Amino acid sequence: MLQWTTLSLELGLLALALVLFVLDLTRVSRRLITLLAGLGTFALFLFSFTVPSTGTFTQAFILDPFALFLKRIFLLAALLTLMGASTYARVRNYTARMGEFILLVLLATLGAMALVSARDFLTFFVAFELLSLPIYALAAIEKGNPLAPEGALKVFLFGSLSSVALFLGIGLLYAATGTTFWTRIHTVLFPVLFQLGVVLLLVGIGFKIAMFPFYMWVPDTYEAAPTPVVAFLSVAPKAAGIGVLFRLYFEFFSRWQGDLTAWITVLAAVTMIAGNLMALPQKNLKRLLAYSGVAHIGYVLTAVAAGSRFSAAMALFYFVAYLFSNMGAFLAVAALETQGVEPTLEGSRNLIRRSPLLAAAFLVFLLSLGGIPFVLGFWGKLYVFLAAGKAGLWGLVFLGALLAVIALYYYLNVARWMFIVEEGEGSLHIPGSLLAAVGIAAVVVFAGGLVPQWLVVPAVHAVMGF
Amino acid sequence: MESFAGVGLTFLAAVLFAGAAVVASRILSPRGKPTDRAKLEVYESGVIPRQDAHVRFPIRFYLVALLFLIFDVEIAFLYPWALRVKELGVVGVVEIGLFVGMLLAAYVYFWRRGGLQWQ
Repeated sequence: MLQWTTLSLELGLLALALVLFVLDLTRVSRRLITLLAGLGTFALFLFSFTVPSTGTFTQAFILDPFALFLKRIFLLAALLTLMGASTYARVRNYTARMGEFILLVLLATLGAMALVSARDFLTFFVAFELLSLPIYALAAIEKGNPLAPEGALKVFLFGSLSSVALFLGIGLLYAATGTTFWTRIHTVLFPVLFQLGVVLLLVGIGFKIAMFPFYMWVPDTYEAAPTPVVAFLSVAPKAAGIGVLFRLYFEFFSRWQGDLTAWITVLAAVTMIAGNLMALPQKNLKRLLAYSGVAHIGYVLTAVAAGSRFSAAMALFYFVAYLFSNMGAFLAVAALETQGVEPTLEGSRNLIRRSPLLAAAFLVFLLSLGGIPFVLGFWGKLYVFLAAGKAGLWGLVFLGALLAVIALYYYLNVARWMFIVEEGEGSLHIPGSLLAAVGIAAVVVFAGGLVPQWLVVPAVHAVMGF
Repeated sequence: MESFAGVGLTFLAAVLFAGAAVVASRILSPRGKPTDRAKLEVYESGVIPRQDAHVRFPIRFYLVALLFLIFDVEIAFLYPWALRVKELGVVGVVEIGLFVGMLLAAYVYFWRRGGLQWQ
C-alpha cells in the first residue's frame, strides 16, 4: 500500500499552485490571488508541523526530519518572495503576469521540496528540473526590462549545462552500479565510470548552489532578474542543493565513494575566497549580495566537508539564518527599487534619514551576513566553524574566520553609505507589504540572535535519522 | 562485466564501420577539383537546398507546437493506461483524471490567454 500521507505537503502545494493558476484565468483580482498564495503557503508551513515526520513513498521518496526541516525553509522562502512580489510587480509593470509568477514560484518550491526527499537518481533529476525550469522563466518575467533576457539566458544556459552534466553523471552511475536507487546498490562494477559519475554529479549540484568555479552566471542574473525572484533564487536552490549533498554524503558517498573530505575542503576554500574577494569592489547592491552569497555557500561547504551529523545540523541552522538575512537584504533592495532608487551604494546613501525603518532592518541583515555578535548569522557561522573544527578542519576554520573579517569591510561599507554619508534627499515611502516582509525577516534575525537555541535544537533533532 | 560485452562489441562495430567508410571514401574518391557543382552540395543525391537554414517564421508556430505538446503528452500516457485499465482500477482512473486535469488547465490557460487567436 502506498503511503500517500508522506506526500501530503507536496500534494498540498501542487493543489494550491494549480487552483491559483486556474483562478487567475477567471475574474478574481490578482491582489486576492497573491494574498491567497501567501496564506496558502503559510498554511502549508503550519501544516508541516502536524504531518508525520517519517515515511517513504516507494523507495524513491523519503520523508525524514531532515527533509522536513528543509521543506519548511523552502516554504518560508516562497512566502517571503510572494510577500514582496506583488508591489514590485506593480512598479515594474508585470502585474499582468502575476498568475504565472505565483505558479512558477510555487512549482519551483515543489521541486526543491521533492529534491531533498529524493532517494533515487531519477526522482532526483526530475525534482532538480522542476526546481530549475520555473527559475529560467521567472528570471525573464520582467519582459520590458532590456537587461532581463540577458540574465535569463545566462541562468538558462548555465542551468541547462548543469542538467546535462548531472544527467550524464546519473547515466554513468547507473552503468557502473546497475540501479538508480542509491540505497539499493550492491557492488560497483566499473570504478572509473563511478568516479566520473560522482564528479559530474558534483558539477551539476555545484552549478545550482553557485559553488566555485560554477558561479559566473550568478552576479549577472541577480542584477537583471526581478529582485523578489533573486531573493528566492539566492536561498531555495542553494538550500536544496546543500540538502541533497548531505543526503548523498550520508547515504551514498560514505558507503561507495570513500572519503570526499579533501575534495570538498578545497572547493569550500576556493568558494569562500572567490566570493569574498569578488564582492569587495562591487558597487551594485545586488551584485554585492550575489558574491556574498557565493561566499556563504563556501562557509556551508565547510560543514559539508566536515561530513558529520552535527555539521549537517549546523548547516540546516546556517540556512535558517541565511534565509532570513539574505532574503531580508534582497527584499530591502526591492523596497528601494520600488521607490525608483537605484540598487547601488550611491543610491542607498543617507537611507537612515530617508527611511529609518528600512535602514535599521538593512543594518540587521548586514550584521547578520557579516557575522557580528549577537545576531542570527553570527551563531550560524560560529556553529558551522565549530562543526568543521570538531572534524579537525582547523585550516578551513582559520581561512573562514579570516575571510569573514574581510567580508565585514564590504558589508559595513554598505552601512557606511546608508548611515554616515549625509547627502541624500527625499524621504521614501516603502510599500506596506514589502516593509512587512522586511520587518518580519529583521525581527527573526534579531530575536533569533538572542535565543539561537530555539532554532539550533530543532536542527539537531532533524539530523537524528542519519 | 559479461553483460556489457555486447555493448562493447556494438561500440567496436560502430567505430570500425564509420572508420572504414571514411577511409574508403578517401581512397576511392577522384582527386583534383570537383567537376560538378553537385559534388559540393551537402547531400550529393539529396534534396537541393534552396535557402539558408536561418529563416524567420512567425513566433505563433511555437505556440502551436506547445499546444501540440499538451495533447501529445496526454496521448502518450492515455494509451498505456487504457491497456491496463482493469488492473489499475479506481486508483488508475483517479490518477489519469488528475493528469488529464492538469493538462486541461494548461489548455484552458492557453485558450484564455489568446493562444488560439491567429490575428
